[in-house]
Amino acid sequence: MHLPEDLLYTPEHFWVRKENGTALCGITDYAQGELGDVVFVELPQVGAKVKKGERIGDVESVKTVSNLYAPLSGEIVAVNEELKEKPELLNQDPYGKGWICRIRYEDENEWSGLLDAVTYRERIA
Amino acid sequence: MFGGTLRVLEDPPLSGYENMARDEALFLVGEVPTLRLFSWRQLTLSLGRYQKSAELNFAFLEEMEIPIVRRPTGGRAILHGDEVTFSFFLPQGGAFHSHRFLYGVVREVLRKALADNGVEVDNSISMAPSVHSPACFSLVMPHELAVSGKKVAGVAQARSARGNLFEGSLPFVLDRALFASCFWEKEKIYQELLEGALGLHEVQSALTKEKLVAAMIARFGELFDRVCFGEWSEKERKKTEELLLGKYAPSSPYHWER
Repeated sequence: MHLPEDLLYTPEHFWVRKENGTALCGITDYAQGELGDVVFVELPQVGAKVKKGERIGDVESVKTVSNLYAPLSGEIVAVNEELKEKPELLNQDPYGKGWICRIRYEDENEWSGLLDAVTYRERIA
Repeated sequence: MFGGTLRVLEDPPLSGYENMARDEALFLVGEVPTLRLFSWRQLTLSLGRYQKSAELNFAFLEEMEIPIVRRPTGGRAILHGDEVTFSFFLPQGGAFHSHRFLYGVVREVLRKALADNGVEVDNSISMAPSVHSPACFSLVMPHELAVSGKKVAGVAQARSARGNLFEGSLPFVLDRALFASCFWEKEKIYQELLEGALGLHEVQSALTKEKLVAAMIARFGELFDRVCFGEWSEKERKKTEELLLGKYAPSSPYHWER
């Protein structure tokens, strides 16, 4: 299982990367492995205001619909439209082409609640 | 395995809209482990939460007065008629269980309940090459149940931070021609159902719904310390009413748009 050291993580299995006042997010390698073959992704709406921990979308795999939760509060400023046609990117490249959305975060303090790779790895062990 | 009390709800026959609104209310506001056993007031086609409806023959469904309702869980279409249908809600309650683990638990419960009634299912399911079909019973997944390779029970799941909802269908009589006619590709789907699915009465003609339901309650109950036959909570009733006025209203495009 691949867990890049330069990313932060949520207990709900999202990874987050800080980039110029925004947070790029997706699901972790662990999460995609647990889900199995993803066949559909319901993305959040660009422009939507979200709160940390709020449901922002769904993924469907193996006849299971699983909710996705915002890792941080803010505004959704971009979503990965490619996932609509290629949901399998979540499995193939979760930290790259399988990114889900970009959030313009509103509260710097929320970053301190995210987990580093070591802590996340302990949680899922 | 889970401890605590399992609440059992036995509902009268209801419309598809009410059945699915009740399941979603359980998923959204349910607070206790619940096994719900229910049936359908009329033949109803349910679609998976994100299933596309382009493959449906709407003219046929309208002519036959078969309503369409969308499930909160994933998967593909099921024509609900002469069957035992259940939902099982398990609040998250601290312990994290993967969806595959929980599928395995539900599969084992159903396997035992069927065995109690003389129906021996296959020990394992070998995945067939991926088949694109809009019909649930065209393909058996490893977490489902089959007899001689033919599917006899379909199970799907929805997961949130609050808990897991399973919905399952165990058809007693599978009307393959009618089921297949709900889709444009009816000949292909009829053949898939003929080769890949069985109604339980084709396996065990003496099986009754009452006996299967009793076995399911007993076997699900073994996962808990005790079983109680309960009622819907006020919160669940209110959420059901709210959903029935909104996305689960019979006229709601939620059911067929996508």
